[in-house]
Parts: sequence; structure tokens; C-alpha cells
Amino acid sequence: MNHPQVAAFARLAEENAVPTRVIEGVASRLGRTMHDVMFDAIHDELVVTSPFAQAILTFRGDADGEEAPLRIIQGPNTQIVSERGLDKVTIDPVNNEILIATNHGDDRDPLGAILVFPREADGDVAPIRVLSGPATQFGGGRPSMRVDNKNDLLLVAESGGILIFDRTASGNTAPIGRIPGPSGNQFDVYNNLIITLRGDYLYAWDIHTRGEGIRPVWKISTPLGARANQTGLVLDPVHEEVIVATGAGNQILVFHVPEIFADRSETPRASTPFRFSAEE
Amino acid sequence: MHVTQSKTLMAILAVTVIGIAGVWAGLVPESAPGVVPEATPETAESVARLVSVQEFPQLDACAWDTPASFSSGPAPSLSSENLLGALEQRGGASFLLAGFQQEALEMRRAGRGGPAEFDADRQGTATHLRTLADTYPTFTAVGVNTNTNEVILQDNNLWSAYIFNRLDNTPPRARFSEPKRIIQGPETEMQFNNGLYIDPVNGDMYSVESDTGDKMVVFAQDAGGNVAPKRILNTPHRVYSVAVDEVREELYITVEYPPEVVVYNKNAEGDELPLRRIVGDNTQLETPHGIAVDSNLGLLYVNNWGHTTDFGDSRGGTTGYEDNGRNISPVGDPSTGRFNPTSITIYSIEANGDVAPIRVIEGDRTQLNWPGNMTVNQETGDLYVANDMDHSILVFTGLDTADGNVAPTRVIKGDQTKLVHPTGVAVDTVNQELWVSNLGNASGVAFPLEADGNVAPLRVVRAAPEEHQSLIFGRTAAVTYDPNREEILVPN
Repeated sequence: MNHPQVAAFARLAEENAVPTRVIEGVASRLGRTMHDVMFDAIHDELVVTSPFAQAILTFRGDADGEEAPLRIIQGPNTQIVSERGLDKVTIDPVNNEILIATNHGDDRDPLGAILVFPREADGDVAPIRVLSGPATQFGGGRPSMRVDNKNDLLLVAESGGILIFDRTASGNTAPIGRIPGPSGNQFDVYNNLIITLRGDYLYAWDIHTRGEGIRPVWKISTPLGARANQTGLVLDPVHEEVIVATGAGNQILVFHVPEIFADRSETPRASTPFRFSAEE
Repeated sequence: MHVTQSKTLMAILAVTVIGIAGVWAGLVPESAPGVVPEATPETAESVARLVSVQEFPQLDACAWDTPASFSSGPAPSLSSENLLGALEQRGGASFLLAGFQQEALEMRRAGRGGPAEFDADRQGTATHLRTLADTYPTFTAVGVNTNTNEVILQDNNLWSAYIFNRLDNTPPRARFSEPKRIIQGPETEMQFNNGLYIDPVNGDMYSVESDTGDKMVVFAQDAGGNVAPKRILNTPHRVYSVAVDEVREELYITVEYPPEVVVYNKNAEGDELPLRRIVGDNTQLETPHGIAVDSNLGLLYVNNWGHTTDFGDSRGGTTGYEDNGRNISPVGDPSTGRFNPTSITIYSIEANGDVAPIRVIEGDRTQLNWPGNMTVNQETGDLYVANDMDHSILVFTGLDTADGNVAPTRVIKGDQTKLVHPTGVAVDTVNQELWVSNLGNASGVAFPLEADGNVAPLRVVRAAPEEHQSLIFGRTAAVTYDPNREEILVPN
């Protein structure tokens, strides 16, 4: 990776379209290995990490050029670990929180942890919650996370699946459910569906149907090309579109997938061979 | 079976590339050799007449490039009727070759088996609407082969290397110049190829990768097409640049994180381990990028972006290696991250271990802003720095004593220079020229070696139309959406 930018494009941009703006340069504090990014539409902010400096960067929503972040979470009290631990980030804009997954990569914390910071934290700030310990079923990876404000849940893509926690879970707390695994860097949640990407398919999982062996509500073919690897994903519900970053493919693909945005009152739930015991 | 398919595919690819070259030659009788003119209705008609490779439509290999995987519109199939039309739409020969590369990789992946699928109650097929991608190469580094009079441009986007005649000069209204050769394809083992070194004696091309491949590949000077490297060296992860000391026959490679410089025998290959490593908290290596060697002064120059952590408690000040020579990737001491100023750290060429730099060039007078590759004029000791974000080339002199907040002696910068996010730089002492690769617009530019200020280049060789602005995508592994502005936000 040569030039760690965040480039903005018009929704309808394609092929060699020129970006509308690019955040870049020394002042931006951006660095390589940005494996997750999230836009906060409520507060008009963008959050991304700078892993090699153990920092969480928050930019103005319309930041442009060599612009400094509005806020930087970084310092001795943060408990942030580099690179391996500072890989994925998410925002809970409703409850004003930023979440990152961290992992020392050694026996100090082999399973990793999720650190929760106030959204408006700036500087050397301690996390307000830490979710960590063997009961969490974290497997020492670099999990992506999303908060489902509709159901007040924290979703963590870890241990070959998505672990479901109460949103405010902390300490050594077990998940309340699990669904089978996605792959890629990012997933999304919308209207009681968890949308994941695996190979050349999108899967939509009912957030209330949990446990091993369950079937997704939808399996939708989305060919991504052979170079697709370590993919990203975000939903645009207004236009019923799924936007996929193909990682090694250096491409952004946009698909129209009305099925997953449809009124689910008419959509039958997936079959449930058995339910996760912790939920019963 | 896949091997057979792949060989067949590549054989036809070779025929096709020759055909494409012939088509270009036929289409541009009034242009300079190797120059592709602006598209016109007449050329479009000519395309249908001139391209007549009958075998193409029979290939399953073209299936990779279906509309679902590339374009929203009625994407042209790579049939004989509209081959050059496809090239024009998709950015030239490299993108076509990338298609074959993808197809070959697809066949490989099919042989290995993809990720397990889930059965669902309902199945569907998404409608592919749009693809945002740079269909042209993104040049990260440049080298000159004075034996063959060629200039080599390293492409980080489509995983290729373009070889042009050194004297090629793309006319302003031409779409782009046709390279003499392109090295590209699955046999090349190139991925996110970033740093480049050309052996001044035998013309060998050394290419290091910045991301997933974790290796250096070496090609002979006449290599072209989908060719295997003459040797491969497994390297640590997150390499950026490479330099060679021809006197000591040593190879120096920067690793961005965990930060270090690894030193190999110039002819190292396979899992050969470094001869020595500059690594540790005393080194002041902080996300190192470009590296250059002054063989006469016995000095090593490294530029650093300043993103750093401590490692003292993690690995005793050093990074570890697995048996295959790759770094274990320690994560640094928790909560020690910081942003330090951009710098050039100077070491003895024999530095080894956790050693402090001899001197550090750092401060606002340096003008450093995301410096990329660097090189030294071995005749003068001048250090040339490709200064990406400043759209400039910085030239530092007096490096036997330079220390602290020193200004460059010369700065090539301005609207006449055609510098757009330069990240590659090469000195040609035979012809007294400086070559620069532009990350920002798929071009290479040549200056007099002593150029200074806002000067026009001697020549420009472009692999894309003049108005093209590179997307500078470098492994787009995440994405988010701004519903307020209806914008897609893409990090690298």
C-alpha cells in the first residue's frame, strides 16, 4: 500500500471517476492498514484508525485534502495495541460510542478485547467498557463489529461466526447468541438482518434466529472476481444497494439487492434447526 | 486440466498481445510508433475490420469479464469484433492482461476450492450496477536500464511492470504510449509490486511488494509477458522499498511495520535470512518508506513517516522471524503510539541491530510530506526524494554532514513539472537524466539531472490519457457510505 488516503466518490461514480475529495497527507495522520471505516450520519463524522500509531481518528464528514482529524484517541490510558489489535472500528451514533477490537497478540491477552470509548473522547482517554475474557468466545482474531440500535445489540464477527451480545456487555460476558460465519473485513445490519459476504455470495441472516446449523434467509449471488480478498461491505438502504470493496481487487462494486431491504413482514424467517443454548 | 487450460490461455494471450500491437500499428499510421492516438469514429470502425483473432470467442477464459464483474453498461465482450474497443474502454493492454491474470487465478482458486457456501431458504442474483476501479496502471516506482535504453515503470494497481523505450515521449493529444513489453500474469508472482531496482550491469529487475505477497521477484532484463521470475526471495510483510549497494553486493529493504531495515546478500533467494537487520527502539525507524545507499560515503538513508510505537517490552527491542524469513509481526507496547515528525535517518551502511542513526534530517525546512522512494547519484552524492504529497522532488546535498532541520538544495516543483503525487525516482548518470514516476496519473517524466524549480520535463511517457487522474487504490479492504452527501468513502 503506497498512499493511505480516504477517497470520496459520488454514489453513481464508476470506472475511472475522479473522487469528489480525498483525505490524505501528513496532517491527516492516516496510515496504511485501514481495514475498517465508518461514517456517522447523525453527527456527520468519519471514523478510521491509524494502526501503527495506535490511534483512532475522527474527521469532519466533509473533510478534504490534508486536513487534521477533529479528534484523536491515543495515549497511555487507552489500552490500544497496534496493528493487530487496532484493525476494526465501529460507531454507535445513537449511544455516542466508538468501539475498537484490540489484541496484544501474545499471552497477555490471547483472546483479545473490545474497547468502548465515548464518541467525543479526545486524547489520552481510558475506555469506558472493556469486553474480554474466555466467556466471550473471542478467538484472538481481529473482529469486525457493528452495533444494532434497533435491537440494542453488539455484533462481533469472531470465531467463525457472528457473536451477539447485549450492547452494553462488559467484562467476561458470554454472548447471547451466535450465527454462522461471514468472511471479509466488514458486515452490516439492517432491518433485523445481518448482511455478510462470503466468497461470491451475500448472505442475509435473521438476527433473531441463532445457533449452529441455521440457514440464512437469503443467499444472493454477487460475483466479485478472483482477486477479491479481504473484502469490505456497506449498505445503502435508500437505493437498496450493497457496496462491496474487493480488497486485493482494487475495485468497488455496487449491486442492487432489493430482497434484503424489503418489508420483512412478508418474509418468512429462516428455518431453525436448533437455537443457541445461551438464549433459551 | 487447469494447467492445460492456463497454458492454452497464455499461449493465446501471447498471440493476442502481438495482435493488439499489430492492430495499434495499423491504426496509427500517422502517429509515432507506439503511440495510441485519441479515439475517433474512424478508428472504431477500423477496429472491427482489423482485429480478427478467431479463437477468442471460444475461450471460457474471457468469462471473468462479464458485465456482472466489471461494467454496468453493455460491456463489450472480448470478441474479435470489438477487441480494441474493449481495450479503449478498459484502459489499454494492461487491463486486458489483468483479465487473463484474473481468469488464471480463478482457475487456480477453483482447483483449491473456495470458501464453503451456505444453503438458504431463498436464493437470488444481485444486479451488478457499477464498478469503480482504475483501469489504468498506477505507477509507484521507476528504473532505467541504460544497457537496453529502456525505462521501467512499476504498476501497483494491475500488478504489472511497463517497459518503455527510454526516449518515448507521448504527444499531448495521444491517448497513451504503447509499452515495448508488459510483465504481468500469474506466473510473475507479482502482487502490489511497489519498490524497484534495476541492476546497472546485467539489467535485472528487482521488484518488492508492499502488501500481500511478501516476496521480492527478480526478472531478467528481457522479460515480458506472463513469465516466471528468475528468482524469488521471501521477505517480511509490509515491505516498501529496495536499494542495492553494488560495491558490497548487498540488498536493503524497508519494512513499514514492525519497522526495520533488512539487509540481504544481493543474490539471496528463497527463505534465505537477512545478513543483518536495523531494528529496535534506538533506530528511530518510524514507518520507514524510501531507502537509498551512498556507496562512496558508506551511508544508508531511510525516510520515515513518523507513525510509531515502542517495542521494548514486546520483543526485547527486536522483531522475531519465522523459519521462512518473514517477520512474526509483534504488536508493539500497548498505548505507546504517537505521531512523530517525518524524517530521514542516516546510518552507517554496516549498521546492525538496535543502533541509533548517525544523524537525522527533520523539520519544517525539509519540506518532507509523505516521502516515497529515494535514490542517490553515486557520482555526486545528491539524494533525490520523491515527495508524494508535495508533488515535488527534493534534492539534498552535503549529506556527509547534513543534520537537523535542513532545506533541500534543489526542489523540482510547479505546474510546469507535470509532477502528480510522485513516489518513484531514478538517476540515469549515463544520459544525465532524472526519471520520476507519478502515482497520480499513470506517467513517467524525465528531467535533466540538475533540474531545479518549476521546469518542464524533457519527456513524458503516459500509459493513460492526459486527463486521467489515478484513483490510487491500494487494496481497498473496507468501504463506508455517506447518505447525507450520497458519497462512497474508500480507504486504502
